[in-house]
Amino acid sequence: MQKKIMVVLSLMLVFVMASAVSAQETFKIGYLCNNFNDTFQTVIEGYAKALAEKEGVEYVYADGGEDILKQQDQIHAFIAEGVDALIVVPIDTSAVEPIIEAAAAAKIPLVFVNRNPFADLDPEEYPENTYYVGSEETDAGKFQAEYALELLGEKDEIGYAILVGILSNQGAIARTQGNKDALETFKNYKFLAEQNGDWQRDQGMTITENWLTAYGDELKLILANNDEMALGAVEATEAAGREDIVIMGVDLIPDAKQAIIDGRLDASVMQDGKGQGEGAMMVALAALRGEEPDPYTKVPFVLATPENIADFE
Amino acid sequence: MKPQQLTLKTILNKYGITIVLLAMILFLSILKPNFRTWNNLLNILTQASIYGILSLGMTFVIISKGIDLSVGSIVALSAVVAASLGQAANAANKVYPDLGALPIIVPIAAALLIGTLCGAINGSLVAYTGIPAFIATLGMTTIARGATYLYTNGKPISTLIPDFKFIGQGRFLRVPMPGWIYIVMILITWTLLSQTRFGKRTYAIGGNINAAQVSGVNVKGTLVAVYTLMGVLCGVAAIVSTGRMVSAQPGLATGYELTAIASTTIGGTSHSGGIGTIGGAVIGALVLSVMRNGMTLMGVHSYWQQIVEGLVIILSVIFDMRKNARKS
Repeated sequence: MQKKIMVVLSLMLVFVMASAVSAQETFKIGYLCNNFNDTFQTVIEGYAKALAEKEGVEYVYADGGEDILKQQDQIHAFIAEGVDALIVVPIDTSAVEPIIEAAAAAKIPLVFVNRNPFADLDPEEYPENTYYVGSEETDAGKFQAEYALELLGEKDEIGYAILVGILSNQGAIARTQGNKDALETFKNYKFLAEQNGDWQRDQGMTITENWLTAYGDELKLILANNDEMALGAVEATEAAGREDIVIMGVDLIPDAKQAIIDGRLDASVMQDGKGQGEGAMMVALAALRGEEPDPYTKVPFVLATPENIADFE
Repeated sequence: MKPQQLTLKTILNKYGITIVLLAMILFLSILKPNFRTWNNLLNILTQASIYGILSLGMTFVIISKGIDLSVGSIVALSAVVAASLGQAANAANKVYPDLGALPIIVPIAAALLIGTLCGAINGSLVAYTGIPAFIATLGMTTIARGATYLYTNGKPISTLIPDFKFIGQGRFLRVPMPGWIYIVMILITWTLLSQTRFGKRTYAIGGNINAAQVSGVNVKGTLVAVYTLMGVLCGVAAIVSTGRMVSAQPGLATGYELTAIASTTIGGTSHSGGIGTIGGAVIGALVLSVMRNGMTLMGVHSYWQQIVEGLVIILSVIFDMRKNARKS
């Protein structure tokens, strides 16, 4: 008799646990993009969404259009809608306090992706239930500079200029810093100019046209914070017959990949969009399932050059 | 009536902004020898061409006492549609995978058609519903931008047929094609504004809409035509832009309406309506282009450049208001 009760009880326990697990499996996760005009962001979001579909997650997303307040409103709306976790590409990495507070108040996991709001913090110091999945942005600038040294050497006089993204963005600051830090120690590299091109191709083109006039043959290297601006620089240098200028971008968007294959762009540094998008979704799910993921998941940058471009599917 | 004397004051009033432009050119030529090279002057013309073309249409709109905030978005929508129909047969990310390379006239016609349609909608809203132009075109701004994202899925469209490259970077008689297109548009719009009844009606509506109505001007039809012309020029600017970058991005031309309004305003077109010239719009666009080019040559930080631009816009309007106030 007791045995029978035990069996029934344990069967009931298994059933309850199973139903609890299956109930928890249908999570609802909100993805908040900074700006859908930023091509690479659509790549990251695409991979996050694909994984969500595969895992049977209910997926909702919003585009903040580079407006900090709009993004905050969207986050509050998602929380009110009852999302179980948030994945956020912060518009301004220095203004994430309200986002963290909102998620903490709702007691849901918060995963920042792609842009690191905690660049100055050790992972142990991150707020509770808050995660970052992304890359070390200074590496992107460093990789560009190192490849430039490989191409242009340490002897000839090289004048270089940097196409900078929007300056409120940590990626723009860190990538530019990575360029400068790596080239600073080489006396033959002369910093000529840096200008804000808003991540856009047309502005990259116009600025480069003006640089070509201002610095002429002195300009030998253009490092861009992203591919869109680098491709604008490519158009400008080609139109001016200055194919000798070395140009590099960041992101390895499809256009840039094609340009490297065609020998028009010298290199790009790939942020692993798949690694970041899927990584963010995995961390969010792990946090929801109580698996206690690491606060910081580093997704390394990869340098893409004509030599290895074939490896990038 | 006294014949107007050629005093310093009248010269300054009439040619103030032209003198500013010449002074800037002189100053930069002395300070930066690079500035006065033939190639750099062509650069300035090319860089002015896109918002220059837009400011031509904006001149009509502002003379009619209206405003058009949607031009940047209309340029983007026209550009991505043109680019999608102008992709080379071997392009990797084709919008229409089964479509071969079409003749260049197809994307050009598509850009002009979309610009015309958006402009006509703007004009009809302003003329027939009576909602302020500011609101009507603000609505169009987000609608056209949304349609652009929808059409492209947020991704740039590239690998276009070589004819586009010719439009953006080719040269005829040593002058780049965007410069030629700009010059042709200047001639067309100048003729429309100063030589036709349509031009006179535009001035009349902006000067005093009731008086225009009473004296038999077809106010509604003229307004529709004014905004449609603006739309057509958006299509032209989209073709130039697509040619210059041999691609089109959905975020393209964000804020171009403000540059176009600024060029027009610097050139002396009055926001109280009825006053303005095509020549002024051209000078205004060149002032902005010379200023941006010159400041980059001098290594001025991009954030300072924005501040200087803002100051120039405000000062030029103050100057114009004083001038116009004295006249009346």
